[in-house]
Amino acid sequence: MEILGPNFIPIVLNIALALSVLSLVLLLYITVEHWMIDRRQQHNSTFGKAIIPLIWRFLRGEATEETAIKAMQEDPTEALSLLIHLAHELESSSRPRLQPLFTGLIFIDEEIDALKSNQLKRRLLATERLGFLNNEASTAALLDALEDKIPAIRLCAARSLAIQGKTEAIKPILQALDLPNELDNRREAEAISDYGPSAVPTLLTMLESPIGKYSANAIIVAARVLGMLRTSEAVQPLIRLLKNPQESVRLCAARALGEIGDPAAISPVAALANDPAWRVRKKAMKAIGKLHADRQIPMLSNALSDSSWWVRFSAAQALHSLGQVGITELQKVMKNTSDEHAREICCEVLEEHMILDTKKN
Amino acid sequence: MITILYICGFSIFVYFIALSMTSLLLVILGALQIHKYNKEITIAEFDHIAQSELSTPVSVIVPAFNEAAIIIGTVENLLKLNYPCHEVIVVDDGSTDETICVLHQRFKLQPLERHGATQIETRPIHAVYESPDYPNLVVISKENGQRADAINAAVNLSRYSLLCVIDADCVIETDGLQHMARPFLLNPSLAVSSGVVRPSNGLVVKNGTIVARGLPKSWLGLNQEVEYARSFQWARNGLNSLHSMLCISGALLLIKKEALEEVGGPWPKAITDDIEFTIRLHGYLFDRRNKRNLKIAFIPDAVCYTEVPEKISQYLPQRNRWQRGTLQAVFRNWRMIFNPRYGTTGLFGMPYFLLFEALAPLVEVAAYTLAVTFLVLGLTTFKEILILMFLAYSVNVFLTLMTIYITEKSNQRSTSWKDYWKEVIAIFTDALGWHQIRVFVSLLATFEYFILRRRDLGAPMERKPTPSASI
Repeated sequence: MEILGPNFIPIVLNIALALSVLSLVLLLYITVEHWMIDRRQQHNSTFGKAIIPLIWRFLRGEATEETAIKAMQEDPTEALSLLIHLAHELESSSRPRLQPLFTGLIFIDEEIDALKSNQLKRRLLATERLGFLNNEASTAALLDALEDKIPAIRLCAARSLAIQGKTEAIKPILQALDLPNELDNRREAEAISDYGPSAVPTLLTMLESPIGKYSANAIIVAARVLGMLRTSEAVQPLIRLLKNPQESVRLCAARALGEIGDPAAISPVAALANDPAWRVRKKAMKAIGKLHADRQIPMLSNALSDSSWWVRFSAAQALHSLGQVGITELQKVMKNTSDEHAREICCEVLEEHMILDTKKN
Repeated sequence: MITILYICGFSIFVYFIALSMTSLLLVILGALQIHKYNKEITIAEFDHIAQSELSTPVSVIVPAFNEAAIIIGTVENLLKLNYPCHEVIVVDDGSTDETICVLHQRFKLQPLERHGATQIETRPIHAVYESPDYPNLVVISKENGQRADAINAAVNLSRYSLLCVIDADCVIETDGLQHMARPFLLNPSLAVSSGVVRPSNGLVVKNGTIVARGLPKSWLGLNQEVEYARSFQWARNGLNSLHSMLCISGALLLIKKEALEEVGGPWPKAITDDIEFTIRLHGYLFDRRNKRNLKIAFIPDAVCYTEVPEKISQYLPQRNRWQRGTLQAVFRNWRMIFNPRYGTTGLFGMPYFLLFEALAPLVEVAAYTLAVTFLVLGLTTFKEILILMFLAYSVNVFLTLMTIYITEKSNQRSTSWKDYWKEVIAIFTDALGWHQIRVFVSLLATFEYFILRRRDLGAPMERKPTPSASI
């Protein structure tokens, strides 16, 4: 008598034997692969030890372009990845000195073909590499890559165009990326900010253009970058944006004005305290805090009774950031107000900043 | 009577087939996930995250209880993480050893007044300290609660919106946080990411940075190396794609603060707070009524190394606690089992966890008992039992080899041939003794949980100074 019956036993045995054979084949395959990866890593390590000092010698003018490229041609893929890594570590002003090496290693036609590949990683690598080839063909290819359906490729193309420093690409970048969510928006802004001050004139033109010429997302990112770069010339165009019909544009303008920190923005930003959108009111409170606008204390004090918790919280934080005068106001409101919400938020912020310990009081 | 025995025997065989097929499915799903992940990432992207001012800041939380021997190495390692903005919050959970003293000595701690906005109820805090030399280090000294209570205390005082929980005995790769945070930058609907945990025994760490990876020296450690690889490399990867990764290791977890607060933080009375919290978190994220549409990511190349017991006297109590903790977590959240409201978590994840994790030891011991009974009663032949055991062994070896195949393509592959062959031998010997020891310990733990109603955490594992601290 048997658990599975006599017919099943040979089947089970055959399955077990088949699995054992499969396991041994798999083990053999893994071992061969282990050996190959080991060899590859050893080669990369030796190659890197030889190539990196050579690139530095080239940068110091102690080695010629021909010598460096000849040595790198031994393994162009690995050499290119070392070169890109080094280029990222260098100051942006020093990167153009690596240009001859990139030109010697990157075959532009191959990279442009790779941009059409179905493989995401190939497209990403090609987009990254083309950024280091500062010529018209690569810029045109990168501008095309801005149309890619995958946002990661579009962002990578934007970064590569920023590495090339082509300011004429800024508007296409902003129009092509058009990424709706907040995180992508921030990454896009960062890609543009890689251009540094050279991006300012283009961005200013965009802000000053008539409403509707550029998408709201493009304007938002432009405003954000100008805020990140703390561009004082952008204050007036940004103040005009505070009246934009789109909530997200007003919000972004208020934030950028807060970051720039120009006192001329205080009154226009304070006017947003009556904005119908709570997110805009919240951002306005934060901006007032950053602008250190003491004369807006009454407005901030009123905002402590706002219908939105976030606005009340941001107003209380803004008052705290004004220093002793703001703290005194918070304490005054806490004692005198009949509004339970205002008292609660004052209490919460004072407690957070250790000015008040409610457990003791 | 004999018919009942046959039915039991056949049921166990069906259970074994179901387990093997599910495991194979998970291997395939896991491998596909890793393949997809590897195709997406580029080194430049991580360089960018490491330098970007826009990378979301992270509060790294380290709960510590009697960790004087290793805490300095761990904190040094965390302070060296290559990430643009992070703070390290160490919580001394009422240690009775020198934990707080060594921290004072090494980091010249000074008292700090700090209150946080979040207020999860915890045991009283004695003091909060900062270090003048390391502005992003905060040390909290509090009354002893449990690991969960220590985490909650740190959450209350944390500054940033992303929280990374790491065990005090862990060492993380310097780029680990970049890898963990990457999906949060790409996907706003992500709530949690977790990574791979591997044994740190055999690791060489210098000034907080991992300089060499090796394997544990003892067979027990080596066996756990294989077990961890199998558990993390494919099981969790595959399970996560089915919203069923119900055990995110507490050793490495990155979570949005708002998600942790809404779930209510880890449960201080849990035997294994990470498993209980993970199940509750799944309930929160995947409850269809809430329409949150949030996600969990498993990052196959974010590696955290943790000390594993190399003495059997430490190993057995640890496994006992894990088994009791699993049972407690599953039965505390029993409403999720087969509940369609939680989608695949309820219909697949929870039943899988109950049947193939929590109750697996019971079934396996029942199988051994039945085999002996059948032999004694003459209902089967020794040859048939051997063939069935051979099948179980082949399946086990095949699945584990698949794991090694996946590991070979990752940053966790063995760096020397000696280690590679040691690992291979461990794969072939795992099912010849160690596995059975694990099963019997788990069975005992199940008995203690249900019959003796044991709910304590047991004695903490005795730490030895890791290479990170000694070198």
